[in-house]
Formats: sequence, C-alpha cells, structure tokens
Amino acid sequence: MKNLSKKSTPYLFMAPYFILFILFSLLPILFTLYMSLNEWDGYSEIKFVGLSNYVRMFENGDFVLSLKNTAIIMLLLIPIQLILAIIIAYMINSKLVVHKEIFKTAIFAPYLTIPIAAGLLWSFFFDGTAGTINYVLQGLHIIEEPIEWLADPFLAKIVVAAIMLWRYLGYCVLFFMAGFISIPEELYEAARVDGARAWHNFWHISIPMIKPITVYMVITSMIGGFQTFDEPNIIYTQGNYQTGPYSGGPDQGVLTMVMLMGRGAFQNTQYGYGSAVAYGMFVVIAVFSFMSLKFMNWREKDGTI
Amino acid sequence: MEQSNKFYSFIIYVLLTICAVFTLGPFYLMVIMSSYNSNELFMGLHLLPGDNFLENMKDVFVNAGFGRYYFNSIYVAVSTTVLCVLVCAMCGYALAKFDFKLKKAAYYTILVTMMLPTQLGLIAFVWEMNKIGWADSHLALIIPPAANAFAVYWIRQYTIQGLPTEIIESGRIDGCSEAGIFFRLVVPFIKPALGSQALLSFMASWNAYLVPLVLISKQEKYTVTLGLSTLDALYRANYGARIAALVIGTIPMFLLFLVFSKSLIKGITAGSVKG
Repeated sequence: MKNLSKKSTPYLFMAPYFILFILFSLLPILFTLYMSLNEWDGYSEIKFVGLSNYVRMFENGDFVLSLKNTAIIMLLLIPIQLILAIIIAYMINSKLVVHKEIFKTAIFAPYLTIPIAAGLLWSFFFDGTAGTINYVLQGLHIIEEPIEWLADPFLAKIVVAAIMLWRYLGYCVLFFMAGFISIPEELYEAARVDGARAWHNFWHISIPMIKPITVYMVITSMIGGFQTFDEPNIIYTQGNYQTGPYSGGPDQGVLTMVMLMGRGAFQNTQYGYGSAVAYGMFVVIAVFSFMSLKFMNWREKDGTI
Repeated sequence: MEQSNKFYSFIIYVLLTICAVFTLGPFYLMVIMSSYNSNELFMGLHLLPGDNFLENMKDVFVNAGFGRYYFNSIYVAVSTTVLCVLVCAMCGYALAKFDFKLKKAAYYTILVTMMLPTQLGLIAFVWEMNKIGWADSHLALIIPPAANAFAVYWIRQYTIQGLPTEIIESGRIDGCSEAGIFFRLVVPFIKPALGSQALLSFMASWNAYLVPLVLISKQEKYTVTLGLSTLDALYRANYGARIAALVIGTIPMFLLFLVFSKSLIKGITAGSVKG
C-alpha cells in the first residue's frame, strides 16, 4: 500500500495531540523529575537537595512499606485472577456451552462499576458489625464471632485484593476468550487423530497458544497493580473504619505507592518528596515489567511451558 | 460419548453459574440495599426489595445535591470523549497514511508514553493546573486527557488495516481539501474504532477519582466520584442513601454497555489481539 505525502498535512493533523501531550504530559513528567531533586512546599523558594528525598524515602521505611503492601496485594490477586480467568474463558469457549454471551456479560459486569463505588460497596459487605460477609459466614457456622476484616492490616489487603478480583476478573476473561477463539481449529483436529484427550488439548495446545496474551496480562496487571489507589483509599476515607485519605488504613496496611505519593505532595505539601516517590514507583514498575518479560522468555527457551 | 458430554456440560454450567452468582450477587444486593433505611440494613441480610427506595433517592438527589454532580460528570465525560476521539483520530490517521520525516520519532514517542505510569507526572501537573488557573475548573478534567497515547496507537492500527489509500487519493482528485477528506471520507471508514475509543474515554472520565480529588474543591464543581467520596460528610449514618448513590453512579455505564457492548469489548481487547 502506497502512503501519501503532502508536506505539511501530517504535521497539522498531529499538532493537536502533540501540543496537548507536551504541555500536559511530557512537561509535568520532566518537571516532576526535577522536583524530586528539590525541596519545595509550593510557596517558598525551591531548594536543591540532590538525592536526599530519595534517601529519606528509604530511610523512614515508608517507600519499602508501600512497595511491600502493593506487592502483597498483587500476589494475593494476580495469580488467582489469571488462573480463574483462563479456566472461565476456556469453559465459556467450550462447545458444550451454548449461552456464551450470557455468561460473558455476567462475569464482565463488575468492570462497569466505578472503582471507588466498588470499594464503597464491598466495604459495606466487609463491615465488622453489619457486613453481609460476616452475616453469611456466621449463618453457615464457618465462623462463630464476627471478623473485623477492615481493622487488621493483613485482612485489609485480602479485602482490597477481593474487590479488585471481583472488578477485573471479567476484564481478564475477555482477553483469554479472544485468545482461545484465535487458536486454529486444525491444531485440535491434528491432536484428535493422535487420540489426545480434552485435558491434554487444554494443557498442551490451548495454554501454550495463548502465551502471548498471558504475558501481556501479567505485565499489564502488574503495571496497573503497582498503581493501586482508588479502592484502598476510599475504604478508609469514610465509614466506620475511617483513618483519613492517604492514610493506608490499620497500621498503614494498605498504604500503596500512589497513596504515599499523594500523602507527600497533596497532604503534607512536600512536592519534592512526593515526586521522589513517583519516580521510585516508575523504577519499580519498569524493573518488574522487564523482569517478568525476561522470566517468561527464559521459561520458553527452557522448554518447560 | 453422548452421556459423558452431557455430564461435562452440566458441570461446566454449574461452575459458570457459581461464578456469575459471585459477580452479579453484589449488584443485586446493592440494588436491594438501596431500598431500605439504615436501621433495617443493620438488621440482617435482605433479599427482597424494601420500601425506602424513593426516600433514599430523594436524599441523594435533593438533599445531597447529586443532580448537580451528575450533570457535571456527564458534561466532563462527554466533552473529553469528543475531544479525545477527534484529537487522537487525526493523529492516528496522520501516522497511518502519510510519509514524513518525523514519523518514526512520533510513533515511538506514542509507544513509550503507553508504558509510562499514568501518575508519573501528576504532582507537577497539579502544580501546573494551579499556575494556569485551571484548578477548580472542569477544563483540567476535559482538555489534558484528550491526548491519549493508547487511543492514537489503536486508531492508527485500525486505519492501516481498514482504510484503503485509494479512498484518499480519489478525494484528492475530486478536489477535496485535506480536512474535507478526513472528515467526509476517513472518519466514516474508521467509525468502529472511534466508537470503541469513545466508550473507553467516557468510562475513564466517569471513573476518574485521584485527579478530581486533588484539583476540585468547590462543591458545585464536584463530579459523581467526588460526590460518592464525600457522601458520609452529609450522611454519616444514612447507609441506605449512600448505597442508593452507588446505584445511581453505576447506571450510566450499564446503559452504555447494554447498547454498545460489542464495541466496548472490542475496544478493551484491542491492545493485545491483532486485527
């Protein structure tokens, strides 16, 4: 296909995007980097302090804590989310299921909620005294005393992971369904001649064939997961367990990196410190995405998948 | 063989139904809970609707001023959607169908932007908005999100595959202006991609929480998310009304999904699956 050329036209068409991009994305990103090397409260003189914001963020333990919290929430969430999504997508795609659209829509529906609405709704469900979850668990005699889900730093992480699982599961299912559909039918035909069974097909044809999508989902889930903010923040912004915005709940158990950044910049007006956290987060995300990409390629060469 | 297929199909239906109960159950409970008053809510699990729905709605819309937030959110989301689709379609079209010097550089800029965390420049962005007087203005929620790297990326992909270059050439022969070619010939061709992107932009804007939280402090400028996040200041003990507000906040995306579900799903998976 021959492309068109007319000298100024493409630049004019691109101009609005790049003007907005430079003004509202690129410049802020660069200026945040500059601010991370300075001390500034937004009013007084900007003071150059070198790397001391970064040093402070590690020395006071806040950054490591927020990284650890975010990582634990992701470890609780991502493996379960992806495994369930693969199984559900495979089941919906199965020839034995006629009502594909109904199941797909039902499982996707939670993605349509506003993230903070999901957080608020589930914080009602997980409430220690009036919550639906305790009510059901007690009714089934699984627990005797109500559990204070939102008052314990570890249980709070489970709650956040559960909310995100509910909201994002169907979103992941869509991707895996698209992946399974795109596998050529002949591959299964060939296997049938060999007398292969359904389980064998799933494990040795379907799973390897959707690997690019699995890699994509792992990486995008991590990039998204490291930026978790809405759900944990809203739970503790109001209601019975209120500790305030950017607080991170009981013992800062769900303090995430974005929350720490917001606390530094918008609550304590330490723009330099907040900016350092933003770039710390950027490095973490870059390193983890790179590592998971490497790891998965290595597994492929190793021949274990 | 027949027999075992029936058995497997039964098992799969049971498992999928359990999943659907877990995903849809909370919605059901939410709608049911929005029809009770607080005292009733604390008296256990309700599975059938109560009679306090209209009262709760009145609390939300009249007393808590949610009508205003609703209007603001729709205004912001629709404006940013229209602007985003226009700006990103123009850019995607230029990258798909023209040859020019900086093409590679522009394309790589977009690819790199897609991989950056969205919050990376937030602090300086907020400072910038304060500086140019856009704090407490809806402009800050409408104009900046219009430049969306993902939107450009996938409108470009779609245009490369879906728009024959001959269409553009025939427009030129007919003496159409470049703008005329874009609006009259190109846009109709890439409409499906634009539609999907519109839904994604609307959803992102409707869900936005952190940026409005930091930038908007005047109550008359609040969006629905800000209204939800401050409801307890008004209704600390009124759980029924607070849940009713969640129902109301969720409805627009549901309506859009009911009408445009195919388009939305296509937009969501556009990033990973070719074609």
